[in-house]
Amino acid sequence: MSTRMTVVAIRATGHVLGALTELAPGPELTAAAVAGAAMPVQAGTTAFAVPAAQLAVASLAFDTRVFDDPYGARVLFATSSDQSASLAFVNGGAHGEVAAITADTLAVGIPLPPGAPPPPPPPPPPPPVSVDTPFWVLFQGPAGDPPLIVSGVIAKTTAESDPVAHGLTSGTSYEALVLVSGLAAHQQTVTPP
Amino acid sequence: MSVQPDRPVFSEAQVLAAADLTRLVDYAADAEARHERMLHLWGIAQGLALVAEPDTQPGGTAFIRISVAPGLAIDGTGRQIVVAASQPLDEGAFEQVNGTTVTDANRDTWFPVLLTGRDQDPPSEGVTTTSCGHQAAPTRVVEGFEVSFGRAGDELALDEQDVPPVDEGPGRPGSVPWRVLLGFVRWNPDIGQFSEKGTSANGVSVRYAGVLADEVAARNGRIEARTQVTPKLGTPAAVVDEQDGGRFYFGLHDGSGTVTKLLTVSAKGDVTATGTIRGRLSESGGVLMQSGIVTDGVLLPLPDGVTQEQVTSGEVVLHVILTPRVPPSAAPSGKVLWVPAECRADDDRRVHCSVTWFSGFTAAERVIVPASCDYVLLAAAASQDGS
Repeated sequence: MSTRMTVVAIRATGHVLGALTELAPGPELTAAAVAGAAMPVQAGTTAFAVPAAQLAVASLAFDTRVFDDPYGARVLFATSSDQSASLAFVNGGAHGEVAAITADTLAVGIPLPPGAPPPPPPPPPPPPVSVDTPFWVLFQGPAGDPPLIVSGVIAKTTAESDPVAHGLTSGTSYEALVLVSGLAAHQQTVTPP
Repeated sequence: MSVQPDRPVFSEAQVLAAADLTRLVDYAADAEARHERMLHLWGIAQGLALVAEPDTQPGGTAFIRISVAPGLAIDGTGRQIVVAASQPLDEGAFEQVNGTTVTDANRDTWFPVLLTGRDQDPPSEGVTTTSCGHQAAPTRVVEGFEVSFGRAGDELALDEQDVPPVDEGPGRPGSVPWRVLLGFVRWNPDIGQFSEKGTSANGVSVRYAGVLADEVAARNGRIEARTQVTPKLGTPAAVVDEQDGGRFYFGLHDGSGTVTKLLTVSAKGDVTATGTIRGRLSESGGVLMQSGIVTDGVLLPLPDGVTQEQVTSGEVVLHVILTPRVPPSAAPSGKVLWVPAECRADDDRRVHCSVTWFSGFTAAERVIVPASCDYVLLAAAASQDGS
C-alpha cells in the first residue's frame, strides 16, 4: 500500500481532477505525465478538457477519500518555499456560477444555497467569503474551437467578482465549468448577448 | 616549410658562436613547447583568477577594481605564460577597445579578459656594454605577458586560433599571439569603471589546462579522478584501486581524505549502490512493473526505466490490468448497488473507469459516476525477432 499519492489539480483554485498512487518508486510526476495534453473532467452531463498548462501536481499523504470522490478534494498549494502542499475538501453545499454576463465582460458570484433564508436587509449580509477567493472558468464552445479560460478573484466581503473581460463570441452557446476556490464545481450553459 | 628538428652538437676546440648557444636554448624550448602542445590542452594551469576589490566613487557609486592573480597558463602553441605578480586590469585599456560600445542598453554585456605571452626586451640592467663602450645586444629575453580585453563575443572564436605546425616551437615570429581566456568583466559607462567580473559568458567558461592521453596508469595501485585539486567535504571522486582483486567506485570525499562509496563495481562484476539504479528496459524478456490506484481520466504511469518512445516504437509492450475499486464510502447519496460501466485503458494509457450506481431499476434510479480502479501495469521488452 502506497503511503503517498500524486494529485493533479487546477493550479488557480486547487480543485482536484485526478489522483494516482505508485507502489514502485519512480521519477517525480509532472502535470503532463499525469494528464497528457489535457485532463478530461465530467461535470454534470458535460465532458470538459482542461489544458495541461492550467494544471499542477502535488505529492500528498495518501487519503482514500480522494479516490472515492476526487472532485470533492482540493489542494492547498504552497505559497512560499517553507510550506508544502496540503489536502482539503470543497464545500459541497455551495458553488460559484457565472452571475452576470455582457457582450464583453462577466462576473462570477456565489449564489445562496437553495432554501437558505434571504439575507436580511441592512445591515448587509455577512460576506460569503472572508478572504479574496480565486475563481476559474473554462468555456467550451462549438466543436473545434479552442477552450477559453477566464480567471479572477472574488474580493472578500463581496459575493460577486468585478466584471472581467471574457473574449467569448456574442450569441454563441458555451458550456462553462465554473470553479471557485473551496466550493464545488459547477457546470452551466452561457450565451453572451 | 616544415623541417626535421636538429640539435646542436659540440666538438673539442670548436669555436662557439652566439648562434650555437642560442640554438641550444631554442632546441630545449621548442621541445618543451611541443610536449605542452601535443600532450596537454591549453588553458590555465594555476592561479590567474580575476580578483575583485570593491570600491566607491566620491559620489557613492560602487565599482570594483580587478586584478589578475599570479599564476601560470599554457597557450595553444605550447608556450608557458607566467604571471609572477598580481596584475591590475587597466581601465584605460578597456576603454580603448570597448569604451565607446558600452551604453545603458548593453551594460550587462560580458567582455573577455585575455592573456597572451610575449617575448620582451629586458630592463636596462640586462643589457651589456662592450669594451669599446658600445651597447651590445641584450643577453636576456623576458618571457613576458600582456593582459588585454576582447570585444564581446571574441571568446567564441578562441578555439579557432592557429596552431603551429608539428615541427615548430612556440609562437612563430610574426604569428598572432595565442589568447588564453582569464574571465569576463562588465563595464559601467557612467563612471568608466568595472562593475562586475565573471567566469563564463555565452556558454564559454574560463578554461583550465588539461591532458591528452589514451592511457592513464597509476604507479601505486590506486588512481583517482576528482573535481577539485584539494578535496573537501563532498568533493565527488571516482577511484580505481586493486583492493579485493580490483574495484571501481564513485563517491564523495568525507573531508578527511576518504571517499565515501556510493557506487562500487567489484572484481567479480558485482554492483553495489547506496541509491537507486535506474536504466532503460532493454533486455529481451525483461519486465518492469508499476501498480497502485488511479482515478478516471488519469494516464497510467510507466515503470521507471521505460520511456514512451520505447512503447511507441514497439520496443516495449504494455500489459494492463484494471479492477474497479468501489468501496461503500464511494457511493453517491442513496445508492447502494453498483456495476462497472467501463474500466479500461486506451492507447494513450488514459484510464476510463466509471460505475453505474443503483437504488432501483428505473432510469431515474441509476447514475453513472467516474470511479477509481486498482491497476497493474507490466512493461515487457519485446524479443529481438519482434515476436
